[in-house]
Amino acid sequence: MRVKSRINHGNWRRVIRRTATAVCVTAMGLGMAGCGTSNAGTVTLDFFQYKAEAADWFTAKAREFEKTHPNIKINVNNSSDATTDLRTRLVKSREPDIITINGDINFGMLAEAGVFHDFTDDKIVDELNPGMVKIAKSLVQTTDQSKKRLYTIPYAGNASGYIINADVWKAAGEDPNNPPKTWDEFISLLKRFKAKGVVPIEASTGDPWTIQAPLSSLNSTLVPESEYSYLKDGTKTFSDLWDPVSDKLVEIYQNYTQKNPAVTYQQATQDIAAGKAAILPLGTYAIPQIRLINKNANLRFAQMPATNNAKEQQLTAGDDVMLTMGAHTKHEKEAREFVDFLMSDENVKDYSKQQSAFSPYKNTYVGDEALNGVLSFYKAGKLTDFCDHYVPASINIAGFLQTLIQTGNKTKFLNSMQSEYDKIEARNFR
Amino acid sequence: MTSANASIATKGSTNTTKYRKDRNINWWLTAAVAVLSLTVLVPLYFTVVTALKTPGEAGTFTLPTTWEWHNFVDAWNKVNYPKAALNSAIITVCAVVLTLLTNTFVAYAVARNMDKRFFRFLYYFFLAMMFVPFTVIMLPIAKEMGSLHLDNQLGLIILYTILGIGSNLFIAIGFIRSIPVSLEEAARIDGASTWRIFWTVIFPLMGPINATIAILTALWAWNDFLLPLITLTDQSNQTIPLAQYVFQSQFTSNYPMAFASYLMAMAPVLIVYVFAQKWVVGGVMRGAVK
Amino acid sequence: MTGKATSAAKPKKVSKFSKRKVDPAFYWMTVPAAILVAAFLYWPFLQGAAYSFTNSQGYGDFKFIGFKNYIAMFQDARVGHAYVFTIFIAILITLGTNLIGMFLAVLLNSKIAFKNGFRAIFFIPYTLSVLVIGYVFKYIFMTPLPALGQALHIDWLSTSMISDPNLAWFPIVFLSIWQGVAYSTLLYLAGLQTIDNEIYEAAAIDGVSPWQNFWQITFPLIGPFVTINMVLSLKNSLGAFDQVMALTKGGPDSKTETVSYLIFQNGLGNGEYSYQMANAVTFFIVLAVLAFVQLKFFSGKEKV
Repeated sequence: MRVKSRINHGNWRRVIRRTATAVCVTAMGLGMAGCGTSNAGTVTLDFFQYKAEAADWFTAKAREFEKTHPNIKINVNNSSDATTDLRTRLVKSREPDIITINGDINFGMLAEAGVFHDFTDDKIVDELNPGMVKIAKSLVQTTDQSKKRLYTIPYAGNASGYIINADVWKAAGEDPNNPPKTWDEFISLLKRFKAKGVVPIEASTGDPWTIQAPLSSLNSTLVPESEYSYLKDGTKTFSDLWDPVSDKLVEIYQNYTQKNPAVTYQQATQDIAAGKAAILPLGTYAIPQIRLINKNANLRFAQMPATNNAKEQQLTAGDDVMLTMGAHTKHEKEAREFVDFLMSDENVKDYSKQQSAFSPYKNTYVGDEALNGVLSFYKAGKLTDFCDHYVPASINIAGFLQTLIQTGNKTKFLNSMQSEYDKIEARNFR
Repeated sequence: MTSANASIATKGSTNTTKYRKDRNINWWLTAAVAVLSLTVLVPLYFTVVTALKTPGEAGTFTLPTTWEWHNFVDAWNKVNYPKAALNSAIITVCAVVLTLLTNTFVAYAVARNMDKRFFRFLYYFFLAMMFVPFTVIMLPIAKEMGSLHLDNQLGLIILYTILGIGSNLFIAIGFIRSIPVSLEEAARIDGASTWRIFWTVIFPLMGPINATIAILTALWAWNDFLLPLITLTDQSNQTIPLAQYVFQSQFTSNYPMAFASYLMAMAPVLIVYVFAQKWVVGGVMRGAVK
Repeated sequence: MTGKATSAAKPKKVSKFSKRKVDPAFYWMTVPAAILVAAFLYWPFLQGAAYSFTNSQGYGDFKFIGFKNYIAMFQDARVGHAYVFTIFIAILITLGTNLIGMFLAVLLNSKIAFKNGFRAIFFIPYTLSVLVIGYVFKYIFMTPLPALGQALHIDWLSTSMISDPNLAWFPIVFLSIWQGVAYSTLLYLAGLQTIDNEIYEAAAIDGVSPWQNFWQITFPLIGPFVTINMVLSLKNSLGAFDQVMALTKGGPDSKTETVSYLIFQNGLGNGEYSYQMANAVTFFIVLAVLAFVQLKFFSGKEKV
């Protein structure tokens, strides 16, 4: 009995082994296929795209480009956690060919490490909005001014302030086309809403990063960018720089929000679209989200005044999307063709319209009529970058802000920021 | 513990007691267990129900008023479910097959030579793997796979096969040691080589424990998130859990569509489980008896 | 085999390993595997440990800086908190999983109807991906549960537990136990089924209570299962990652960051590669020590 079963099993084993080999060889083949092919003249470009809201748009554009460029295939990788993904890729030595990236401190760190293509002397620079170019250059994390070069092409600008539900304002007797110009006017406005039973501000502390929005909105007027170099060399602390903004944030969040402020960003956009509040204290990036829910929402966008001097107000603005190429790309010519395609006037305007952004060319095009409220700031160059672009990414600003607005403990907030910052600088052994 | 014999023995004994004593069912206990089982069933029910609602309706435990089947279609397209499912399937099947074909003879070799210093060392060498947490090697492994051009499905399969050796050895070794050596000695007298003995005598006898290894490996490879997150570079190689993670931010507030996607992610395993649960549960339990 | 010379002359130490010849095939069966394991597990670990002594970002150039990362780490309250939190939830999860698992196993082994059906149901959580079911639970904790809390006027349940710094650990522990119990239950059930019924019948003749039944007969006999399960449970729950990623992403305010999550997020995400490698090496040492202690403790108790 044993002998017979042995033979049968032997056959069975052979069959299994053969199938297994076949399956695994197929897998290997598929695996190899992913290794940067260039068969019969087709070039495959690796496109790393960071913006979740624009994922579909960029994918569609890549397909459109492929139609007119049959020898180029674009692998679109829409990332969900761009900073982690991009860094992981670099750790794996997998630099993408084309990249869209957010203009923040992480970009600055990567740019300093020589990961991106240098566009400083490129002819396209002359056509770009100089304010946005300046922002892109200052972001590079180096104290050596000569190293602050242009490593990307600004693609879309955004702004941080607050979004107005014009219908709610009108119903409460306020003029959405005439938002407050000073801090006192702003607080009086919130008080008036509250008195009328309208929720003045829609908070979304369930996603604590959203508290960084009003932080940045206010800080652009309160703290000039140059101050942050004093922070870096230790002559000034967070207590010197961020004291006024802490008071203002506590005042807003503890007095003028809805009953359950711990909803998510998604929920907050739903609420404002449904007219449940007057103001959403976020940036222009939230406008497309609101329009997704209610296409015809009557919205305006305004700068959040931080002091009582109307003339010194600055608009917090940033390079929301920047387009660049990998510094070591093997297909520079083809990558550049795609970049030029995306930078065409038509595509830039289309993106701005879809994402309610500011276009990067000198003749600023606003993608959403709500943005007209702050166009003057763009035209006058009264732009300051987001303050959190000057703070190391591993500091949990969002968390600290959450505690700040819940407890009102300003000293704790400022000390936490300072001690984390010091710790990171201490172990910045580069 | 002689596992191969023990499971047969207990099955026998519970069978005889079962046929005699099952008039004696304790219905209070049954009810208690039924209530406890709700803790498992309610979240699943919630998932199904939410997936079928409109975004406005989502969030309660009630049945949907309209059955929005299109959520599944939307999720299917958005997440590119077929591609992700195919990736998951390829990786899982290959990992299971490769594991069964390799980890088994490693266990056999160690089991049969525990009296030699070298193999005793190997035993601890492999067993120690179970105690190195993945987090510790997560960053360097990413680097290594990248430089070896293994940041793709093939790399994942290799990782699942190799990293599983420790626990598979642990599970299998007791079982193998309970197989009497006389069978191998008989085969050796017949002139069979060690390899031949393994494939023709031992491997077939390891059937039950192979099933256990296959099930545990399959569940691991299919549901794993961290390894694919670190290893895979190209999104077209995404597995199902990874796809859920990547698209989290793109579902925005359309919870029903997100839940439809989650349901489709859970579905393949659940469906196989419904049909094969006795086999799966039995396999896992056998692996527990070392 | 171990012969000890009884004479006054110096005793010759005899190895407890045999001296027989080993078929080379056995070497072929194991050595390649060992090399691969070394290449894909131990070597990356050593590399990572080496990186922890540098200032590398994971790419680009770096230089050797000695123990500076470790010194900075021991002064970092955020890392300290991660360890405390991780151990806190690991203990809760291990105890919860094992106690509930044991309890359910006893129930499933007793005289109830539809045994196999219930057993199948209780195992379902193990078949699901932690991340996916984590997303489901995240939503449950965020919306319907607070709604229920508001309806029942229970204060602490009325806002999402996930955003509450004091309660955010609960969803993580709950999810981990929910899934862990599945495997635990089966493990203990398997153990229970190895116990011959005759022992219980003999005890029944002597007239013992169910309590005594459990503590004096059942528990000692499944001792080995308890040991293994506790050791593996603890190791797994100390490495909690998927649940944190799905439910809280370490929030609110870094309150639910586990060590694994911190290593991944700050090591790969925020460019603190070598610093987090120091964290990882320390974590490994902690785990190794804990495992060693556990094994010593339990194998002492396991005398059956």
